[in-house]
Amino acid sequence: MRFLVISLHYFGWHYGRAILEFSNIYKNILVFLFNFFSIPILVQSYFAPWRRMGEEYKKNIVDDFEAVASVFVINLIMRLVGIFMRTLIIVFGSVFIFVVALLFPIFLIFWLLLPLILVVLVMLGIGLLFK
Amino acid sequence: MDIKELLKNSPLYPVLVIESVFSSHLRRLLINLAGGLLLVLFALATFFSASNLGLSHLAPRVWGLVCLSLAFYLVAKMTEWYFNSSYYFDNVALNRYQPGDLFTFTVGRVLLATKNNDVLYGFLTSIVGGKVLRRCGISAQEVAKFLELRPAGQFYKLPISPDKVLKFRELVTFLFQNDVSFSQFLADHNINEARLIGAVNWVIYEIEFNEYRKRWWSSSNLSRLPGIAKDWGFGNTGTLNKYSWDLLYGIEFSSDLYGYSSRLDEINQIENVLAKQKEANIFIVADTSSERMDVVWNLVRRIKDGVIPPSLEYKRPVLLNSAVFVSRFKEKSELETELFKIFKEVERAGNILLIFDNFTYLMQGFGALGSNFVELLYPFLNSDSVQIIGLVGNNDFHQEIESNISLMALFDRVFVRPLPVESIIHNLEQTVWSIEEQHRLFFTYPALLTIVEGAGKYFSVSDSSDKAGDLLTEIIPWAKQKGYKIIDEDIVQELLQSKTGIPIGKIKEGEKEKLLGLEKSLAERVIGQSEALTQVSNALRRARSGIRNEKKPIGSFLFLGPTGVGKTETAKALAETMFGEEKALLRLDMSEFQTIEGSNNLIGSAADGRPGLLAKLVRENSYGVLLLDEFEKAHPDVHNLFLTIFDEGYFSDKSGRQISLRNMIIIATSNAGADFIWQMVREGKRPEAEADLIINSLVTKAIFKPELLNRFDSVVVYRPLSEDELKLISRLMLGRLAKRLMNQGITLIINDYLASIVAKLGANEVFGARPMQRFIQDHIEQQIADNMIKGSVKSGDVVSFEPEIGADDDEPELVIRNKK
Repeated sequence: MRFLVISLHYFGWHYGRAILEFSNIYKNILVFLFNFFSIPILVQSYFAPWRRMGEEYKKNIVDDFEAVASVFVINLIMRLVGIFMRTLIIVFGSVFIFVVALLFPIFLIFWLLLPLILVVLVMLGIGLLFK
Repeated sequence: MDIKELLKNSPLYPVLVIESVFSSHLRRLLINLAGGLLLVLFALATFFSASNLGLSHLAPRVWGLVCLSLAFYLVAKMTEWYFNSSYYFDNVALNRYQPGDLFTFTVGRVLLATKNNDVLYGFLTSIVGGKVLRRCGISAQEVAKFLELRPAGQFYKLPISPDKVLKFRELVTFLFQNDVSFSQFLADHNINEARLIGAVNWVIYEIEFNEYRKRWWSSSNLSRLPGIAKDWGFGNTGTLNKYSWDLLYGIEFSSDLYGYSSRLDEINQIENVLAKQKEANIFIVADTSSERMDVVWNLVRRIKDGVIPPSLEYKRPVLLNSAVFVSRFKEKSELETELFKIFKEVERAGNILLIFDNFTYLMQGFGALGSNFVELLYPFLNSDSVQIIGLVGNNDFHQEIESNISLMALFDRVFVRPLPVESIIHNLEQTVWSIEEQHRLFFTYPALLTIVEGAGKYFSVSDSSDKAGDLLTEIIPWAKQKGYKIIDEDIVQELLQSKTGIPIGKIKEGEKEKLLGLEKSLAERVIGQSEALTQVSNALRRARSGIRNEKKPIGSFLFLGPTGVGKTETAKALAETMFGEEKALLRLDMSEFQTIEGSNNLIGSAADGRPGLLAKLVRENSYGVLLLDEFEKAHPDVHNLFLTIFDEGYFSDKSGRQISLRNMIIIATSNAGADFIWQMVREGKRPEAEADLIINSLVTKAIFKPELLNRFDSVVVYRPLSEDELKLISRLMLGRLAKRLMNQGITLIINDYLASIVAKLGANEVFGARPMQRFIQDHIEQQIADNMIKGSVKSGDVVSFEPEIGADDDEPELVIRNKK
């Protein structure tokens, strides 16, 4: 009697609350990964120089083309470095998140079939054992 | 209402049954076993299939076992998830309830253990109930004994209603209030309702804490890991890093303070200031550095967890070590250049929250090299990309910073308040778990309570959360050395007592005798004055029996009477009997504090920021007898100060710090009414019986204000000593001399003649027995010493004094009786 009550209750949970709960966990993990790879910040600051490095244009050097050009080049390089690093992380992060995202439907299918899988496993096991 | 029915109809029933059949501990064990078995079988199966040792015919069977054990593992896992997900978290960790829930999971555990509707039985035999009782310091054997002896078959109507979920705490309170035998049982173990609930809260907290930590997938737990590219948009700080410490990577930070944050008021204030557009700088003012850092750590934790205003997100709190920074440079220009560099970096980096660990130390360090730290700071303080938190002590803040108006305009300030006892206990509860795990000790809740309360009560220096923590760490090696495993209230009291010398806790046999015989032991040193001694002893017995108001000094007395009648001697004797040594007597001559300057010396003065003499004295010895000689001579300000001390048990020194005198016996002496007392004696009255008359005369003469006199626990009148009493005193003093002579091998015989001559010539009306010591020294000791030098008195001799024949009896003559 006890066992029956609990089993019934269990199936209610397995196909109801459990799925909700897993979706919730899944959402948490995705949000976490998004933040972990800092994708929103990286996109916002995509063109910013690497770690605010670079030089300032000195005043009254408008006629000194060489000085202006050297500062410009340095700053450009810093921005390029920044873009490169950010691209790297964004691409890697996106791929990672995509892979994790794919895992969920697979897990879900497995979960839905789990009771069936259990029955199959037990039958297969007994069958193999007494072959 | 049948409990069995109640349980069956509850939505919690399945999980409760699972928990009762397979406890969470057992389930974990099963899962691990099944997992291990699965791995081993899988390895075997692959080995059999692949090997050509002729074992391959066994392979299908092993594969069959793999399938079965996998199935078993999955079932175990599913059950565990079902258990955790379905109700446990909702009910325990998050306190969310489903419609139809009548009680919490923990209450369910108690109900499940209930037999014949006897809920108390269920509570006492359930696992949670057992935990609570253990925290109360009650062993399982004692519980079993109680269950055997108590009146059988109690049935209560549980306070269960459909509109409110019954919680564990409420159930325990209900049992306590409704079952007399239970509350009596607890009372026998010195557990009242507050303590019981304290223990319950601790046990619940432990369950919730562990559940919360297990849930790594919850969004709040996941967000603890910071993003990898969070600070890419901000600059580096190479120079600053040499002298500082990035708090986001601090150790204290990982110290598991999940979800709980104390000092929220202070943190909110700080966050509001730091969120400002400009001049977002703040001083954190607290007495001890641990209090200041505690606030900082709480702030850092919130930054890392992301529960702060958006403007503080991505901030990097960096703690600059002032001592390291200042000591690195010997030249003013180098120091200034380096500081300038640091500020440029901070400005550029854009996300630095610069914390100076000791603001005034920097001011002094720069000052020593002829520079001005604050002046250098100004240009940067106005900018919106530099944010500074300065940590300062109370004293330093009032003396060096508050007066600087321009600095105060740029900085806000937050004063850290001492934590309330509940928060200190709550904070320590976590520490205790780790101590228990590490050192195999067990703390009861009353022990923890005694630690926290004792820290506040007996150690007046520094803040009490810090002291409680210190006391807790101090107890570990001490308890281990003494072989204690379970630390209960008595053991903590034993430690406190050995540290302070103040008897604490239950009155023990030896102390009982001491208290009951207090008059007698005082009378051994103080001759006569039996009424005075009785008054003092009664007051102290009241204090020790726990009737006393804990917010006042142990006792406060005014001793009135002429000089040399035993007032000071009583104070000394009290110090010796109550605190074990005469050294526990702190003596202040109040005639030194007659002027306003004098009173400033005693109390401390705000003008030059010096702490007062009294504060210093009490801070060094916070327990003992404080003797205030010639109290009437002190400045009225001093009298007013003591007015509050007698009332509240503490005073605030000029820097606002509270100094407690609650562990002191305060004795003020005065010979102000001496003339009046003498007059009464001459009229044949007994002054000690007419204390009111004497007090009135003091009030009319405006020597003491009536409100001051009323504040004393007791005003004790000492009467002039009679001739017989003087003789007793002279015997006492001569006895001390005889003892010293005995060390040299000389025996002094104290005959009646000697005693009376010393009493007669040594004492006088004005100074009472005080000159007696001097007389003995000048007339008795001197003669013996002279003779010792001459060689007529040697070791082994017996000497006595006899009246000189033929002379008037003013000068006793030494007679040497050689007994060799």
